[in-house]
Amino acid sequence: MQLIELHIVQFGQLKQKTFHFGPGLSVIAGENEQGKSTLLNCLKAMFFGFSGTRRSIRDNDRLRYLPWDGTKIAANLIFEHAGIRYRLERVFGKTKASDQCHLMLDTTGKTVELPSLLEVGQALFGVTADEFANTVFIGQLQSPLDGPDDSTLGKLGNLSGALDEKLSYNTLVEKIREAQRSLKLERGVGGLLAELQQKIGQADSDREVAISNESTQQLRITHLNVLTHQVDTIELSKKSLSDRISHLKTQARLQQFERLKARQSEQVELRTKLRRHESLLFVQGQLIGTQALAPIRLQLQAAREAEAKVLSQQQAVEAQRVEKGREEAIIRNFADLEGIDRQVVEQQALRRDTLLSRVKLLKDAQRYQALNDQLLQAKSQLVEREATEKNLQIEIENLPTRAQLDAPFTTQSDAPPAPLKAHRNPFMIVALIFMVLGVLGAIITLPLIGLTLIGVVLAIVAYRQSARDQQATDQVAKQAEAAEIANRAADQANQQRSLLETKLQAAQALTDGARQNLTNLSRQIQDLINEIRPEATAIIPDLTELAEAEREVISLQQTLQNDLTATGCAQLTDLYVRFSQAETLHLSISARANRLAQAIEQQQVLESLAKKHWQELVLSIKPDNGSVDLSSPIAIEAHIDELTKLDIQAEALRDQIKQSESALREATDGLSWPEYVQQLETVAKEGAGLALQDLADLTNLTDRPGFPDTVGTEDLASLEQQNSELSDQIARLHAEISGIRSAIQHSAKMPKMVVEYDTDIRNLRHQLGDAQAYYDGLELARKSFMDAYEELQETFGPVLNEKAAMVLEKLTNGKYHGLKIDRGFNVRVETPEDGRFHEWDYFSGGTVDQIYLALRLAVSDVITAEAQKMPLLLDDIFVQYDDERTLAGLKFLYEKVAAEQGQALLLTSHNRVGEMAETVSPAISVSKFI
Amino acid sequence: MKDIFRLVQTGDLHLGSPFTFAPNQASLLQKTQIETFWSIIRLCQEQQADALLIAGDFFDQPNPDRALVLAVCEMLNSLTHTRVLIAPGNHDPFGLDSPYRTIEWPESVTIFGEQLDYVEFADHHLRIYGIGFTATVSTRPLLADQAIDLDSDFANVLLIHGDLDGPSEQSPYNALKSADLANKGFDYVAVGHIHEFSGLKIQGQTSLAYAGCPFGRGFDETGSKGVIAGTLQLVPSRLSDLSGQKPRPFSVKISLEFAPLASRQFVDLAVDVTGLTDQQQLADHILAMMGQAGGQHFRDNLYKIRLIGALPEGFSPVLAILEQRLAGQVCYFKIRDNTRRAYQLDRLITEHSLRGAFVRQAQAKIEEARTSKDPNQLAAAELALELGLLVMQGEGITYAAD
Repeated sequence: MQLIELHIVQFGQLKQKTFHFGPGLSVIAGENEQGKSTLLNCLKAMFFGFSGTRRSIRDNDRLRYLPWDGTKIAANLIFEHAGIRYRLERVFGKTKASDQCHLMLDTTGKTVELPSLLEVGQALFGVTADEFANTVFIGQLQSPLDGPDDSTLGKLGNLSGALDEKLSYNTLVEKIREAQRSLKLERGVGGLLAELQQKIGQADSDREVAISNESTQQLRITHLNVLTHQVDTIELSKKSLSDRISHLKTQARLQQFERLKARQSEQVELRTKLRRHESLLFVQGQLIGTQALAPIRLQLQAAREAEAKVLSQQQAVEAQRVEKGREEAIIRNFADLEGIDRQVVEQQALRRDTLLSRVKLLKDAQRYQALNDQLLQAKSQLVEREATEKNLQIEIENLPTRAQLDAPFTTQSDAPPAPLKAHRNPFMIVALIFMVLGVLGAIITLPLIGLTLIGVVLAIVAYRQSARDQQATDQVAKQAEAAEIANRAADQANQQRSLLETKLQAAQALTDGARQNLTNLSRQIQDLINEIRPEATAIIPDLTELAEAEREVISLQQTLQNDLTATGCAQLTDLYVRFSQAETLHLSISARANRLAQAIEQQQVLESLAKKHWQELVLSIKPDNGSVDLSSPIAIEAHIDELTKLDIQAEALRDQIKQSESALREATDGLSWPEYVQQLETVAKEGAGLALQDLADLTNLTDRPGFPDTVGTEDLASLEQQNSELSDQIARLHAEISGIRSAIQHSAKMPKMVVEYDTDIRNLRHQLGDAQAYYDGLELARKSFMDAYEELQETFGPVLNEKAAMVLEKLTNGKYHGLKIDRGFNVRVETPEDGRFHEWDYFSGGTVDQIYLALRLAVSDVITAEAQKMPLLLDDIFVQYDDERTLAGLKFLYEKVAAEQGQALLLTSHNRVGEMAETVSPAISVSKFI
Repeated sequence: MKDIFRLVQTGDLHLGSPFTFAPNQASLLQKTQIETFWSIIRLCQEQQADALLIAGDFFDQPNPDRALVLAVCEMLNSLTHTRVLIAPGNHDPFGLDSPYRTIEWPESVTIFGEQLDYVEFADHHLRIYGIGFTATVSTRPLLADQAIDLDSDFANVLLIHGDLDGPSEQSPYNALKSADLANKGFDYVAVGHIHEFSGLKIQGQTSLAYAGCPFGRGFDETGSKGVIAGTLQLVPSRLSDLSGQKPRPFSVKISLEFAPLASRQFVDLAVDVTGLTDQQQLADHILAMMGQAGGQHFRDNLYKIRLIGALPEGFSPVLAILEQRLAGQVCYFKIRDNTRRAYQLDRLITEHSLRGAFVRQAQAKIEEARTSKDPNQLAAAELALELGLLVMQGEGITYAAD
């Protein structure tokens, strides 16, 4: 493989730098801190990436070369391998996951796929990063920062022992031993394993104690149960024995009991009877006696009297109720008056009458007005006729004189006034006809008086027309007369006079007629005035009012008629009579209701009083047990009678009981019967184990199965002795049980249950197993290292010896040609002075560096012998060499590279190295690091 | 006569366990224990079981909290059809101050004491015998001193807590032998003590089974937990008893199955994280694996996560970060990092160095262990390779307990 060109985009302090590499040995010289080591590390990273994960920058190349400005590491490398020219582009991020790697054919740009997870160096050259670092990549030596393993001597040792200058066999083994020692000390007792075993032993021991304790507890409990069972059994026997004893005792007592039972039963019976009697005599907690019955009877008398008053009052109330009912029946006959208000009817009737009176007044005024008008007309007509008559008379009287005076006017007109006369006559005729008919009518029947009035009116009209016509006629006549007079003068004077006289006669007739008419009218008015009320003459009749009054009268008349029809009355007076009757009845009923209410109230008072009497009486006699019927006075009276009897009987019973008790007490040795029975119960319970409820009925006691019929002949004392012995046994067992219980409760207890110890032991054993397995793993690892070491010894030792010696000889110009690496990988070099082999620490630093380089190159040769040779990357390896050593070294390298047709880059901070290289061979490329 | 007898068998509930390994979750887990027991009660109700058999270690301690016992009694009281039979175990022995003695239990509950006794189900021609521990150990088998005379007219069941066919006859937990129990003539033996469902063992004419615990108590009690439920049926038979004893007119057909119950499980999960390169990927992958292992309700479970597999150089799990990212996702979890570096052994093995030689030697030992088929030797050889590589990388190799 050969490097051709490296372009560093960014790698540590190097930015945008391009380096071209030629074949053979190239020496690149530059000042310190210019980046020579960085360049070599960049080349290493291009092929193998970054592998360290340490946090320290010193131990982590990625951190060391990562730019601080946040940009990424990036570089491109062109190289040739196996005749193919490649281009490798790499970018490194903060983590391996972010790295990018692109390998391609430089000629075509075609991507070359690499096996997964393999670095370029591994894939192409079959060399791991560590191998690379331990062979062709030779860094500076003796850095002051280097640790023991990183010192030249250290590296030399590592290199010889592990073929890896960073791996120290001894250190590795020691680390393993150290880890093993934490688990198990090599000497004595100690370490985690022993600690765990001790804990397990302790837990086992505790567990055994716990098991022992618990087993003892188990035995105690079992024994306790046995004892408890024994106690139960003995108590059962004892109970049986006690029952037998008790039975015997009870039997004896029962015999006496049987005798007394009859008497007691009798006493019980008497008591029962007395209790029954007294149950009725006990009132309000007091026993009623003879003395208490006297006032009760007085109370009874008062109650009875009160009851009689109540009865009387009830009858009175009933009588009132009957009468009230009768009146209410009557009043129902006036039901048709319902809905008719008397006042309304009366007001309506009054209104009707008022209106009728007003109508009459108006009509009278109307009649009076009409007659008065006629009279005035008649008077006027009479005046006119009298004037006409007078005028005619004057005219007649004055006729000769006038004829003379009026002569000039006689030729004024030819036409006589005849038509005027013809017009006047029909009116008068019709008027007269009407008047005649009217007078006749008035005589025959009053209603035809209207005709008369019409006649009068017509007559007046005719008269007025006639008067006007007469005036005109007169004037014309005068004119005519004057003309006649004038024209005819005297010849017609006679004729004129006769005419006027005729007229005068007619006028006089008319005047008479008018006078007569006036007289008639005056008489009629006088008659009317006499007929009507005086005020009728003083008012002017209002026809509208009259019409409205008449309509209202008709309406009222109809309403009243309806009321009458509804009530069946013919007249209002009848209705008024019915109203009066109904009112009278209502008043009567109301008064009776009041009287009835008062009577009822009185009755209630009396009833209350009577009730109070009875209640007080009931309270006085009601037994406290409330079993007697006292719901009626009869029952109360009967009960009072009964009480009297009971009182007498109870007294008798008390005497009997007293006598019986006295006799029984004497028979039971002074014990009362309950005390006697109690005593018997106790004996019976002991003897027969009877339940208390069974003892309640002692009369059946002897019927119980198992109860002795007769008292046996067994020795009661013997039985009681046995019973006592059993009691002693039970007591002893109880004492033993108590002791065991105490032992159980106060027994030593381990802090944990056995199962907990089991768990602890299991966990400890698990831990022990884990630790032991780990220890075994460590031990096996240590053995593997030892075996690996052996393998290296056998495989590489001799070859390494030979090659290293050869290189050293050349590097030292033959001074040191003897170099041996023993089985312990200790490097020894033969000194020419004494021909002896010495350990490396015998030599000077410069010689040690030569030995290191020799060994390193030998290792490189050994390891990479089978693989493609890779360029040697040498970082200032002659830094401690003197010129002689440097020159020898340069010469060796040049020859080696040339012989192998390989490539080597020697970076140096000493210009003299470059200068010396040029002296070795012009083929060596010497350049400045820029 | 009723020919089908329904039973539910449980045991080893260990109610009131302290769950010291997860103090923050202890209360929740104790509650889960109670809920699991309540689900057993419900199962009995649903199936109208004739008997609920509790084969010991009902409580975790001989003197559990009184309130807990009363709560249990209250739950048992809700059973309307089922009789409850309890054979105290080594954790809750029938000691003098045991709540089995000091507390009044429901009428439907029978607690077997130090003497073998039985409860007869006359309608079913079936008797259930039982005996209990009286101390936290029983080095002498409980049945050793008991006279056992079974009536072959009945189906005979034994309820007992003990170490059935255990490795040591010296077991302090009532060592039992299947053959002995079969010889005594029991048709079915309901056993408690082992926390794993045993399956139905057949020994002669006798069937035996551990129900296991219905709810695990730690990561050594993983997987599905539940009870045994099913029927015992007396089937008419003409076969005579080969033992020469009185022939039985019937045989007992046992149809019992495991019924899973627990709502939470302890899951010991090995998560292979090979190839993952950052913490978030790890967290996501762990969560996905928990989901895969725990199913729909995986968040209710408790997980012990063991990270295994090879991780690339430069990357290793940071447990604090993982715990922070997974916090609250599941009921409980703890993570152990058992990953190793992704070494290219095929390359290392060719290396001409101590490293290469070591790998070759270690691989040879691994092959040797494989050949020997000794798992311990193989584990040690593999560990040796791992440790050797670690130490060569400058990593610490001092043993640290898990």
